[in-house]
Amino acid sequence: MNQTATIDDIRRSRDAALDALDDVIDEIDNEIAQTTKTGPYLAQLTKRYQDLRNEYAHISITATFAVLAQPGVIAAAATLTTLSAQMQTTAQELAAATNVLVKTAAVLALGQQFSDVIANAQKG
Amino acid sequence: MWRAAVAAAVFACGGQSACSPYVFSENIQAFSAEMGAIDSSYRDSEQQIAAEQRLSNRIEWMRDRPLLAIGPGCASNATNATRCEIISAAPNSTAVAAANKADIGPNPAQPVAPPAEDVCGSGAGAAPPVRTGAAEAPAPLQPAQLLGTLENYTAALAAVTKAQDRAEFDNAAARVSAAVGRLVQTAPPPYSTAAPVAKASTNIVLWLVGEDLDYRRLHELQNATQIACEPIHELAAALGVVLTAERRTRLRGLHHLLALKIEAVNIARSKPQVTDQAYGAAIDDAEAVADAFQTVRATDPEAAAQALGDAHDALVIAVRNNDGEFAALVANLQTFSRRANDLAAAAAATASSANPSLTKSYEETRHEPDGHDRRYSPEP
Repeated sequence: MNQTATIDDIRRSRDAALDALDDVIDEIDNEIAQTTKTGPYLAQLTKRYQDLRNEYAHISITATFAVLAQPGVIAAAATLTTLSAQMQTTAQELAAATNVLVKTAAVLALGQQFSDVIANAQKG
Repeated sequence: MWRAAVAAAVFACGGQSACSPYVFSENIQAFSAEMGAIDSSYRDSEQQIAAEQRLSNRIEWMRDRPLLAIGPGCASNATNATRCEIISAAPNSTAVAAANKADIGPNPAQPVAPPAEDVCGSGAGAAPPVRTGAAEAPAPLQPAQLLGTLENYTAALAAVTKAQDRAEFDNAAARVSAAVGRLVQTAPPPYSTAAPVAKASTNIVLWLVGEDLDYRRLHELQNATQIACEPIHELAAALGVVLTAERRTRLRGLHHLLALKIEAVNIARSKPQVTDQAYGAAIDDAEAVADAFQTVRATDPEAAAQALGDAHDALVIAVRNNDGEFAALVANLQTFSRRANDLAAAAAATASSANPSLTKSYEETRHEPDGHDRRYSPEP
């Protein structure tokens, strides 16, 4: 539970930072949409947009990797990976038993053919 | 001896449905399919983000015609973590350095949600601990690894409960039984008279083998879902962070693309040489981006991750009780399915490509003879 709270903290902190950036970048986008002449002003808007967008991406990526580096998350992923392998092994046991039965049936069919041949030979 | 074995098997299972893992087959297949849908939605959205970024670049570069350069991801020794992209050679932003100092630590002002009912605790003592080896090598996960881990787990659940396996086993057992019967029948007396007994005894042995395998599968299912209970909560919380990050990134890119498309419409509006058809197409272009934005914004990845955890909790309870009461499981799976479908729809939503007619108008404008300020007509 403590681990989940930490993840929640990172998420909330990230969202607060990105929400603030969203407001500013939205305004810049709106200004870009209304600016139909190129020149220093549009260049400045575009530069400011790129700067904020880089910061936005950096915060987002940093938060994601902070969460994925949590020991609890790594341990949980390792547990599931181990479990999945065990379960696949168990699942294959029935398939293996089926394969044995199929082979057994084939061998028994050969045995029956052999018996038929012997029986016919004795009759002959 | 047979009777004792049969009695033991029946006692252990307590009846047909109680010993069968296959009653969960359909629900677990659905669970696995929705997890797969989330994984593919994540990958599709990644591709959409890249495509929409390129579209934005194209529009901006056609407008500004900046000097272009080979991006850092195109270095021969670069890893695939960074895409090979063409970039503008304009001086880089200095804001990234400031962003390095961004506070991503805990925010004490935000209240922490109260813990939900502890589904994983009850009966957890029966579950043996699984050695993970995570303590020795705590390598950080990548988002794709997180999704892959969850998808592998749900696929393993589906494999354990695959009803088709049991049907194939029964078919093979029937073939063996029939072959035994025929073989003994063809034997000379007195062996041939024992054919019915041989066939019946073979049937019982095969039935016991099948029941034992079913029991082991059911036990594995009960054990695994219990052990996975808490890890799924942990990974669902992490998945929520990963999916919301992707949603926000995509929305940010679509918003900028929308701004550029509207800018293009506004430019076309003031150009006499732009036909009504081209102007209308520019509006359609912008509307398509607005639609894509709306579709992505309607998603709630956090809720999808929560639904994943809830559906698994319902599965844990259903498998633990094993009483045929699946109403809660089915309801939670339906919610999970809706959330996953929302994400898939958002991943499929596309913004249209740049309008050729309008692109032409950019170029025409660019080559107007009057122009230092080479672009567009002034606003009326």
